[in-house]
Amino acid sequence: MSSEIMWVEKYRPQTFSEVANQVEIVERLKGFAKNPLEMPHLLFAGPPGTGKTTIAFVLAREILGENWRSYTLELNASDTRGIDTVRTTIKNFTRFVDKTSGIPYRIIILDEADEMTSDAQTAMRRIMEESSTNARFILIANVSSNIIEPIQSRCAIFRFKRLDEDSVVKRLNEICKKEGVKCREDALKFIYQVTEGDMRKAINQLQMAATLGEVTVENVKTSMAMTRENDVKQMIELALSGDYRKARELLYKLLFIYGLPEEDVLRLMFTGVMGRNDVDTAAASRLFSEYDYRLIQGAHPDIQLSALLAELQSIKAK
Amino acid sequence: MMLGNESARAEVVRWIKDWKPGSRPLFLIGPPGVGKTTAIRNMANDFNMYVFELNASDYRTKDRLRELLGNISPVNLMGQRILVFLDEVDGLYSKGDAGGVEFISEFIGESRVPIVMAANEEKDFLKDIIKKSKVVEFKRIPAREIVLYLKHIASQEGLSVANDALEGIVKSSNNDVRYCINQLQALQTGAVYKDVKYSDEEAVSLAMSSRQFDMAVYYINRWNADPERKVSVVAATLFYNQPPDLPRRARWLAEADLLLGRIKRTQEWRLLKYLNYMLAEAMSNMMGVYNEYLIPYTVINERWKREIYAGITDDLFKQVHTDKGFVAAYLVPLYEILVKRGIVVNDAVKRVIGG
Repeated sequence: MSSEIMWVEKYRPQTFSEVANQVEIVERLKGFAKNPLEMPHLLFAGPPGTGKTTIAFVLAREILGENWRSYTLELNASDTRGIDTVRTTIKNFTRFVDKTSGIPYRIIILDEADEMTSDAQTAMRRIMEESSTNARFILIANVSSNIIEPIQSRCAIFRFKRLDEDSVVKRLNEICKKEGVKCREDALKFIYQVTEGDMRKAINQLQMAATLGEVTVENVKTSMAMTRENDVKQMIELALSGDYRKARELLYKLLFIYGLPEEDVLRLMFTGVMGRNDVDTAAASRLFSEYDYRLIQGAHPDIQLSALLAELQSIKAK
Repeated sequence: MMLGNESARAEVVRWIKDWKPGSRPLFLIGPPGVGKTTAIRNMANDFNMYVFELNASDYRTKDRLRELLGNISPVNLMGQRILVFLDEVDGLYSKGDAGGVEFISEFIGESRVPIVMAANEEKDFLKDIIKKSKVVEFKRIPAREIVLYLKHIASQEGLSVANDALEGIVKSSNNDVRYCINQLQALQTGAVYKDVKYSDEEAVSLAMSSRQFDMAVYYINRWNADPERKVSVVAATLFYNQPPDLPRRARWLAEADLLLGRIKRTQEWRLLKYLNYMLAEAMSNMMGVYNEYLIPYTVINERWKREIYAGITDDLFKQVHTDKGFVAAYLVPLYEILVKRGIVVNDAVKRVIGG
């Protein structure tokens, strides 16, 4: 299996010139690439699929050159990043820089930094300060307010905007040409609508539809039914219509067989519920905020999600 | 008042009386809860010594130990003699304590302060240290003596506990005095009932058939299971039966689980006393049958697929720079289609999707 199979990775821009959007941000970062020593620690904030990780990699490559991977530490939420990792892995990585290699410093890319505990973040602030001759941090977050103040104040913050329809459709078109896939303009626009400006999701949906033949609205719809997002929607439908047993079977399939992280299921459930017109959205937001907390603090995440599923009945619009 | 091991304790006292720089360190061996730590603390108290203690909760690498003990002075600022007490040394042999054993082995040869070590077992890696030490063995305390001791404590605390309950505690404790005292205290706060009568199935069935909340509490209190198990079995039974007022009951269960999570995290076991009430509220006065399996059986039947999905998720995750949630929710389904269409060959996945 090779990453070339997955278009999200195959078509990830490798240079600034390939990055089709976030023009202002790219312009400013190009300046840092020219004068690396002037670059402070960076914080990239914005919704998923808007190019934060991609641009972080491009920047690392521009600054560190060919062997950038050897001098870059990439950690995301799926790696353990508690206070121990900060004190050991990260601290050690920033301890020295190989001056003979001609690189200005090492780079640490922390994806989903807003998911780190505030303890771990606190442990990091001193390291960021003391390591500035040896290393630069690029923190990536969906919501910058989840990053503790002292860290925010040590970073230059870049806010990534949701991508507009034109740039996503243009990119999807390019990919179709390179892959020799036939596509309809209305289908690409439809992909944009359902993926809400998330390039990563859009490219993935495009590939799924393309495996069915020509990219048409029909094929996009068919392929959408194959994602787990659709399973979650179905689960909500079952729970609201009173078939709790089937709904819970689906829940355990998602968690236990497909291995979806519990927080992701909760998030997809929330999006799914808010997209319906037969629920009281205010009540839903209150219910989900409670369960979001319990999911983290409770002893059994699967019991919490089962209970949430049972309580969905109570948020049906009167 | 201390219990049992009189001659061992006398040896400990003799050792400290005779100790001078260059003397052998003391090595205490014995099962948990027979009074090793207590003997040392009492002795230090009697001789007005200050105990510098390191146990398994401390990092004990070579460097860390050198930093703490390398230049230790024989007397503290209050003028008390210092005694180094390395408890639970049989827990030393792990990666987290790299080099700790070697350091201790060197350190005890040249120490200017008295050193005591304690362990439950004579582990192989301790051989060298034990050879250089004066070994004193602590033995299990006879059950009869522990029962008498517990009775004494109970009467001091104004508790009336039946004899057979006390004997039950001691029996289940493997003659660990500390455990027995904890159990006795738990009896008093009502958190754990060691003298219990009800199995999982009995307790849950009786609680469900209890019309009154108080009766349900009674059965859940006398349910012989740890809190983890209780929450999990109540959940399994509740979700399996789906009573008409499931949302309300599910909420109580979710509250109980939240409390359990908090207790486990903060180790505030005193909060445990609230748990049974919440579980009783989730269970009482309900039609249904006992069930202990949280995962629906239809899903259990497919559990062989779990490993295969975990495998693809990991593989894809390594190659694509994105979070696991995205991989599991979007990339794996795409991969399934690619396999189905023959674009990618993967027999395991083919079996899973039935293509």
